[in-house]
Amino acid sequence: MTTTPQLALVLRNGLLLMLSLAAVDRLGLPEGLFLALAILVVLEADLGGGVIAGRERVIGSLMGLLAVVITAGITLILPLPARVFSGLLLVRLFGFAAGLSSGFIVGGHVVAGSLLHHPDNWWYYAFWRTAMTILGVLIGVYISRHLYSQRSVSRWREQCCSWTGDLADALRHLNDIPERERLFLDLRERRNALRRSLPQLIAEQSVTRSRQDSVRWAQEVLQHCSTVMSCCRDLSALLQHQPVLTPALRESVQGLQRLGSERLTTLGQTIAMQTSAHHDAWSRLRLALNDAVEDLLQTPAGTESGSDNSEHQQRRLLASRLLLLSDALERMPCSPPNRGVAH
Amino acid sequence: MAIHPPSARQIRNALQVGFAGFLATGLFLLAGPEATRIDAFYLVYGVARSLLPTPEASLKAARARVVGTLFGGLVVMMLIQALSNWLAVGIGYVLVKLLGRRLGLDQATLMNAVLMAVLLVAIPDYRDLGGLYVLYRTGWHLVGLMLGMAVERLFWFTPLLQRLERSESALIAQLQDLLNQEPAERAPELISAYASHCSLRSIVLKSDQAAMLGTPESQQRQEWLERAVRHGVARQRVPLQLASIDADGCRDALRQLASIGGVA
Repeated sequence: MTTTPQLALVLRNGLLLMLSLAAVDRLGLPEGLFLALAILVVLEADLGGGVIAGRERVIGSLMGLLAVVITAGITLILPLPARVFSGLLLVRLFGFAAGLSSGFIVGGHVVAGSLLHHPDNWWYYAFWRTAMTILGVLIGVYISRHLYSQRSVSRWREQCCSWTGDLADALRHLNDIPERERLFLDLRERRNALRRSLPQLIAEQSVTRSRQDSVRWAQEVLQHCSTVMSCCRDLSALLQHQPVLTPALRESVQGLQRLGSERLTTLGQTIAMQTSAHHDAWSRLRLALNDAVEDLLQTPAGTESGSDNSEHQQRRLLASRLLLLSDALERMPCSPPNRGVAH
Repeated sequence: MAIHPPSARQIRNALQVGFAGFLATGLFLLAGPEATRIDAFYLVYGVARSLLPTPEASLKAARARVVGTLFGGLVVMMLIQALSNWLAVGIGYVLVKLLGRRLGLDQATLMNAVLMAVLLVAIPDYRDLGGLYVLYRTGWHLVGLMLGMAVERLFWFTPLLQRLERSESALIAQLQDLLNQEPAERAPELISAYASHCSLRSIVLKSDQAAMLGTPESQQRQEWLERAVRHGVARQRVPLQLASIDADGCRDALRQLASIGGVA
């Protein structure tokens, strides 16, 4: 994200925080501070991240309320430290059972605030804190969706395009990649970062209810591009140790590099870029590659038995990676759905 | 919402949090009403924020809470000298964000700073206490967080290297399990497991135990593990008739891994 949108976001959130606190004060809402905080928690991230943060906060608060009710209601005869023990224990167990990753912290705060700060009116505090949190999250998600909306899917696609662009470059220069291991390590780290962001896309799609399935597109891109990445890494090493390729195979590999890198580069573009001429060229390449690979596997071995076996293994591995690469490039989705999503 | 039965590790974690809360409350009662008159319940807030899934995460969260509370308090304390109405919240938020980013503070620290700013401006009692409130809030949190981290170290604590070794063993078991089954597009789970292992390894490499991973044997171990994972992932992807190449490659790498020493 560039500096200007970041500043605009900070200004948006600052203004909304001020307005929400003023409104809460004017309306005299019970425990209204938690409404403003819940709005802020959602707005601090993009829409998908905000939905996840809001969900953690809501479920965490509900678990905290439940733990307080059980602890304060049933274990009233116990001394305070034992009640806090029971409350914090329960909130973690409930949180883990609900699959929370951080919401149990807020749940613990509900327990601590109720039992230690509001021991005489814990029900009022815990109930209204939870109610205001739920309301705040709902308002926050609504605002995040409609006011200067920052979509996880747009950021994801931007990062994905940069990744596939570098992958295309690696494929194009397969035989001559300086610092090969480092390059592929970097590409793998970036792939892992994209994988880690998938929950945000899923959460975002759950509130936008978009008919365009961005999540499936992202999953397919990750699946096939990961295969392309692994094949490029293995092929770049194999081609260095396999200098003698038949002319047909060399031509097929070059075609695969050229068409494959074009396909990766156009991944983020519209479907109109994928012309019928491109499809024809691709079909011809697949046929030529299959024939060349078949010839490669049938080439007679040398004379020494030990190196024969190793050479045969290398050839099989080369054939496997070439077929896998062409298959992954062919199955790659063409263009992302709904290119015109809000940023 | 799906219900997941808590694992043994999660149950142990819940017991640890409960026990740390028990100690914190005992401390709260022992200190008496005079010492605890300014929001000493934040002791238990600190406990609830500690004992996260890993000790590194607990430490990071503790640092973010303490630094963020102090930073937000400092910024807003200066601001409310000039401005004490609702405008101060908005301006305080913007100032905290812009200054904090300039100082290189992370998102979690800034969120804690904003929280402090909101509490100071929005609650008249806290505004009246001013800097004293910032100090008490920070102090109580600090004690609670330290108590939580002490309990984390005292019970069921697993040293970093041991965690890495367990992670490697689990990965090897997963690879062997997959080798005993037909390929079924299970590459993503292997990729996730290896990514977790690598991030744990990078934590060890940044720690004082990094030298243990610097030996030639340990580096060889990592290379063979990497090779086993590469073949294991490829086996899930290649056409069935070619899967045996990667199965052999994976088995060979695992065999090599079993034959060498060194730390994971």
